Amino acid sequence: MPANLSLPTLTVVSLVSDPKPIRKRGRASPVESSRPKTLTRQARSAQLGVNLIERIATEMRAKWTPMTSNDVGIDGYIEFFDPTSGHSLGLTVAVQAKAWDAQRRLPAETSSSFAWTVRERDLAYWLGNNLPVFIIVARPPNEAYWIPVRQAFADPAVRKARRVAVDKVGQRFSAEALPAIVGLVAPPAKRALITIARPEQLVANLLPVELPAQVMVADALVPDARDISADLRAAGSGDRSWILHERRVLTFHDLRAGTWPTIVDPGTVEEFDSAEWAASTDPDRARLFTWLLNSALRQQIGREVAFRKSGRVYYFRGGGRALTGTERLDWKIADPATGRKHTVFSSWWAKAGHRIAYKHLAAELAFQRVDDTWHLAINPTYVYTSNGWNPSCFESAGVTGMKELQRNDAVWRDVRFWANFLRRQPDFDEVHFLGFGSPPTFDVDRGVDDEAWLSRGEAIGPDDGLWTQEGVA
Amino acid sequence: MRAWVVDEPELEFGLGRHLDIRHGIAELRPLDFRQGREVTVGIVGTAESTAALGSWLESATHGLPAKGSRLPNLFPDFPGFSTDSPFGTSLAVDPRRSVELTARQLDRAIEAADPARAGGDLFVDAITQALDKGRPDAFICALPPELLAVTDEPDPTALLEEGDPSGPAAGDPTAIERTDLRDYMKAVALACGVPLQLIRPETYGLGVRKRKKAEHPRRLQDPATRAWNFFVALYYKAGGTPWRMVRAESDLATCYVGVAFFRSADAETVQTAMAQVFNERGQGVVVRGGPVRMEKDDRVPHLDAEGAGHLLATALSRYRDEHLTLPARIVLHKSSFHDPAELAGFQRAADDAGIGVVDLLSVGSSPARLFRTQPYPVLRGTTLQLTEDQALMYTRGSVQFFETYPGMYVPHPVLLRADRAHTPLDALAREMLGLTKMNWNNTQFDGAKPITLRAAQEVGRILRYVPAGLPIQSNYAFYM
Repeated sequence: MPANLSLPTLTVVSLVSDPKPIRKRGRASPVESSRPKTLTRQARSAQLGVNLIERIATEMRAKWTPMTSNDVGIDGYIEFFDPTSGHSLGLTVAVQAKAWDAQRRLPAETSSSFAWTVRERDLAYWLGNNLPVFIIVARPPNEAYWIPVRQAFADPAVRKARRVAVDKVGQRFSAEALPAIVGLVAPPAKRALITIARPEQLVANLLPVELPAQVMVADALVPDARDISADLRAAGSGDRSWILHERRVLTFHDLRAGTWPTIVDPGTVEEFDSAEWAASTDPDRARLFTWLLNSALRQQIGREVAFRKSGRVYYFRGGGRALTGTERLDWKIADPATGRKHTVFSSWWAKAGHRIAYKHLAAELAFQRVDDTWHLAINPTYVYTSNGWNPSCFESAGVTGMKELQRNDAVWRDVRFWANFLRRQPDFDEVHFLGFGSPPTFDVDRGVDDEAWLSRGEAIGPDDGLWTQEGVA
Repeated sequence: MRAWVVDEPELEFGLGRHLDIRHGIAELRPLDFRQGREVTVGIVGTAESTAALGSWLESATHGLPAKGSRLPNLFPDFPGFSTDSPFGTSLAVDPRRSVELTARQLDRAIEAADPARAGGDLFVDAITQALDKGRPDAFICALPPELLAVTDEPDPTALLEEGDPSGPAAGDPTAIERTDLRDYMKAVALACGVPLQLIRPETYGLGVRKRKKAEHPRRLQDPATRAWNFFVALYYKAGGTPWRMVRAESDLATCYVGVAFFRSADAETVQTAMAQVFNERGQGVVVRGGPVRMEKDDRVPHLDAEGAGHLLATALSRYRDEHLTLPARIVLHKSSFHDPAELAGFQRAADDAGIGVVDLLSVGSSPARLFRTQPYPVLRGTTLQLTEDQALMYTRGSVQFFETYPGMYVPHPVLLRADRAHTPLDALAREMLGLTKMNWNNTQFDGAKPITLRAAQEVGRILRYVPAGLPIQSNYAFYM
């Protein structure tokens, strides 16, 4: 009513027409004619379903466009965009929305699946559509499932029965389903372009080094390192965790105790905080300190592990005695942390059962200072010997072969084994100056869908020539 | 320490941006696309090799199918090289500027004491003669299998990398150097003034006759990818710009410089090479440095302050010749760390030119690694900041776009050290990742090294055969 019109009296305006009898064929139905316009429960439920689909599409940074008239079986379209950059992917699917009341059980519903049946007319229409068609079963307030029609009904038996099983977990329609959906409907060049946040944890091959408290330095009474070794051996110790540089001995040992006072001049013994040496930026000092760390390392793993100077590689021994070359052997060590056996030494067989060398698990172990902490970097490899210690002439072929064979997870398992081995508790008769912490881990927000890649791709083999860019000069 | 993953940077093509080179060119055309362009080439080879090359070129220019694979992003089709192809450019082989080597000439070269030098001289003499009749955009050298059978062997690099154990020690008179056919040929051809494009028999359709003791057979990429690499390199050598790095409007105009050292072929002196990359047009310019000193204790070469200053000043003057202005920023990549003399020298040259933003970086290696515990290794772009000025970056690794890890074993990261830098380390790392995609010889974008360093090293390999003092070509197209 216009605002400036004033009513002199109160008037009641009836908004409902007077009931009129409706003449239906044979029967009058007075009740029906007085019913007000109603939004049916089905209509409301359908709208809630579409709202849910639109909401979930928006959560996955996609765009839902409804069809205004719904008489051919398509309720709307979803267009997909890169969830990180927002760039259009040029991918659209058509959607048939089916609302389902949360209180009602879905057909053949269990905790993990349900069944969905379609009509022949609908199925034929959807399969003939140029756009991929999805049936989305929406169960407000939060549950929805997506059924890709072409793929779901590809099997002739399923097609004939017009009934398909739906995986409630794998086909849950949510923001997390985006990679699976795009993976299914997009061509590879588009599929692989989307950047998905996938949180993962990475591990470094660096063990933080726990140093002993003191470093000791003194003048040596004998000129040669070999003399010092001989003196120590004579006293019953084959210990090698010391270095001799410019006639001074540098070590973690207490130079005032044991046989040391006969090897060094007790009056010249100096004691330093090892943290001071560890933090020194003087390159000469750092070099000496690294040398000392290497000596201490070699000593504490020396029972099981030998060191080969050329290549600076550590490798698990073959058991001690000279191998004649015909034994079939392998040696497994239990991982101190997990208990699982890890092969550290084995016979290496050419074809036709002819043993040609021994294969030893090995590693380059390098001390590195990162910021203020010393770390040991572990890079696993293999060495090949003819008898347990002489390098085999087949070594280069063997190492290349292993590098062609080993995948990232196998290399990681070797790193982890070395890390756990280095961190083991010393035996009662062993002296371990160096302790090792656990390797640092890092959280990143980009990862790899290993399962999808493995299922889709083939292994890149050595003949693919991808490791050298040759052919053009 | 903290880690993060840098997303794959995009490149700019003719009609838009894409992160992949081959898809970018095929869908969006080269950056400087011009319909109807023509590249003229002369062909040099034996009767057999030129005939085989001719038929390969004929079929490749019409397109080559991808290798059958479930990794179509890694192995795409080659769309051909013609006016109708995405390149918009056709290849014209000029028979007047093509030369056929006789069997006798080839045999003489093969039987020479140094077949690589003899073979290289043979090709370049032929090219010099052909030049009388005119100058094509490039010469394609169809290397005959017989020659490669005697010159192909794994050769120790003469490039000195920091702590490179395989390189012969400086001043070691027993370090005998094998001549590399490709590097020598390009060195001698510098005087001709036309870039060379070499092509191996495995690519153009003849096999290599292996010597009896060949240890590792050469492994080549699939035919479509080799065609991609060949034609993109040719497009660049003929003066084209296939793509460039994406730069934001707000980014400063930057001059990227790579510095590498090489030992001359007579093993007498150690000299510097340098390559430069102009981003705006992707053109590279080469500057040769003077002799360097070697420390007695370590085998790492360094420039003195004067040499460093002179090298950078020359680079800047070349930049100004090209762009008619000086850059606002310099980024310098070197494979060994900058010592105080080098820092002082480079800084002084930048100060003299009035350039305020200078980033001096060393790009090396480290034993540190990052692991996923799953079958695939870490993603290319994964970065671990070790200290305030050092970061470990994986420039090889799993590649989302390829849906695989296109490599063997586990990838090795590079160690990026900001010896003196104005720009934050994470921006420098991201920029370096983009620079690994600027190698015109490689259309598979996951290169390990930034083009600055790679180009400097490639130039070094060739300049070691050119005596000091001789004029050299300054365009990078002659060295790639």
